[in-house]
Amino acid sequence: MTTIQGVRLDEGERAAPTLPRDILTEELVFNMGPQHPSTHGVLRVVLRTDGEVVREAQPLIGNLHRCCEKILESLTYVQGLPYVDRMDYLGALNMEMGLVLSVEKAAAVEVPKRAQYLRVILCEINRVISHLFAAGQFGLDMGAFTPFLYMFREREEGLTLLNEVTGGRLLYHYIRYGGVTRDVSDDWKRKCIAWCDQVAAHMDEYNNLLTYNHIFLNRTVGVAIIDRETALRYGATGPILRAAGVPRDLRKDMPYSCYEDFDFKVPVGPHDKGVVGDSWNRHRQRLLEIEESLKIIRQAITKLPAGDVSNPKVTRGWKAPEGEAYVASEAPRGEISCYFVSDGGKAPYRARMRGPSFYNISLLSETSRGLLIGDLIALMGSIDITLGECDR
Amino acid sequence: MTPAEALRSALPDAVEEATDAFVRVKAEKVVEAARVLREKCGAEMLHQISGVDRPPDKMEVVYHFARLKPAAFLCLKVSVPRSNPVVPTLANEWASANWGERETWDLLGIRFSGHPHPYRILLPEDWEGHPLRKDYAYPVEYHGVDCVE
Repeated sequence: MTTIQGVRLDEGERAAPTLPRDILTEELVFNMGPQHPSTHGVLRVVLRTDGEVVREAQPLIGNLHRCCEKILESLTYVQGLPYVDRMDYLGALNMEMGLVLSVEKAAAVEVPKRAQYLRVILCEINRVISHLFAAGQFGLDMGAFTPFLYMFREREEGLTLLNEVTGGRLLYHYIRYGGVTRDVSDDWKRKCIAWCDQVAAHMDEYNNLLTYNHIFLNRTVGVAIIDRETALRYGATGPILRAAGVPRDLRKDMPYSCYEDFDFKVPVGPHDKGVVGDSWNRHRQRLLEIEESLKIIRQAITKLPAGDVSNPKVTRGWKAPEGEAYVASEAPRGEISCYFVSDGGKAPYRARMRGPSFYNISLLSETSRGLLIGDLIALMGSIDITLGECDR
Repeated sequence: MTPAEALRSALPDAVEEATDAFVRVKAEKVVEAARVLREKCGAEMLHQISGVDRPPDKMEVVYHFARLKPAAFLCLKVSVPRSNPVVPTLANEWASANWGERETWDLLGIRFSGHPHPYRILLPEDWEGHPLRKDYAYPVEYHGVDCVE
């Protein structure tokens, strides 16, 4: 039995994969990562391989662990907020939403309607940027360098938009308890609509370059299937779950922050190629979700109500009264939620954050059995993990 | 059927406290209670496992199950004595409990009996203590590196 950091690699024997060839070579145990470019951060995967076939892949996480929950418990409410940005640094605004919604629900804080709309606009821009990054990165993993640069062009301009409102490019600290920090100008609204048009105009280009590219299709169609049952059992959410054919989107199912005001669809797999839950469907899912997000941004900007953007009752020394709440919201990688408990003190008594990547990556060891090493990269790339939020 | 009604009728001895927001069951009955939630209330996904330290004498494990249609979260709570915090594992039925419980063991020191892989997950194997306990003392040094505030 091989043991690395408590990982018993022989566990995989109970479900030995059918090998695509009849010659068995000596098994090899080695590390993929934590500095491997395809692991998207500091993920370490211990592989036990037989030639090119993965017999067992065990993700070992924790390299980026900062105990975010302990930090939140030891700082005041206002001080703690910037730290959740650092969880998923590619969808930082959505992480802020995760914490803020729970606290606001537990403390019954009112949020002005304009602030709720601004949260929606900015979070959706963030989702588009994050999905562009994920799709580009996935292309990069599959050996297509060019689409990555094309997607970064739009991403960069999206970052500039966010920068103009929040003052930050990646980490925003924009959403606060009871509202947001700054209002947007009419000029910014025009730029934002122009950006939506620009991204929408380039969707065909992305699809031609990457999604329907023959080589890309060969690398991803039917590869590393995550079915409905596996996804639900492992608590996988977001694009993975929807690509597996489950129409679950919290923006529709449990609307928060005025999402019920907007008209948008929830794309669900299987899409026009491949089989339900394969790597290609997960990629296509993200691109379709970008189109829906753009619809939401346009509607929210058109309908943006007048009024305040923050609740004046929430001041620097604000404390939540005793209580608890569990609210989940839809981040780019899945469902972020916070189990928030307050004892009426200066800091949260407990703020348990659910990182969607944490649960998404936990299915790696089951799904990867019997894949080729190259297909394992397709699996990891299409799951789209951020280790900052997985390790918290 | 609400979780409180379902659990009251299926496991009358196990329910300790039931409100609209959550149901508290006896620790040793948590596996049966989770099964009832799945079969009677449509809890298809174990969404999150949270541990809460309640000094001086209690610790809590809070399970949030997700129902898909109509979407809702169902909350199950378990209280265990702080001196010997042990809860039966759900990892054999919900794969998401595997890592969730490992994290709760890692950060709060609540043990899950029957867990297939009861190791730390986020902290190094040789880390001492469980940081999210309210009486956690910060280490002074770790492998020769000073840890000062």
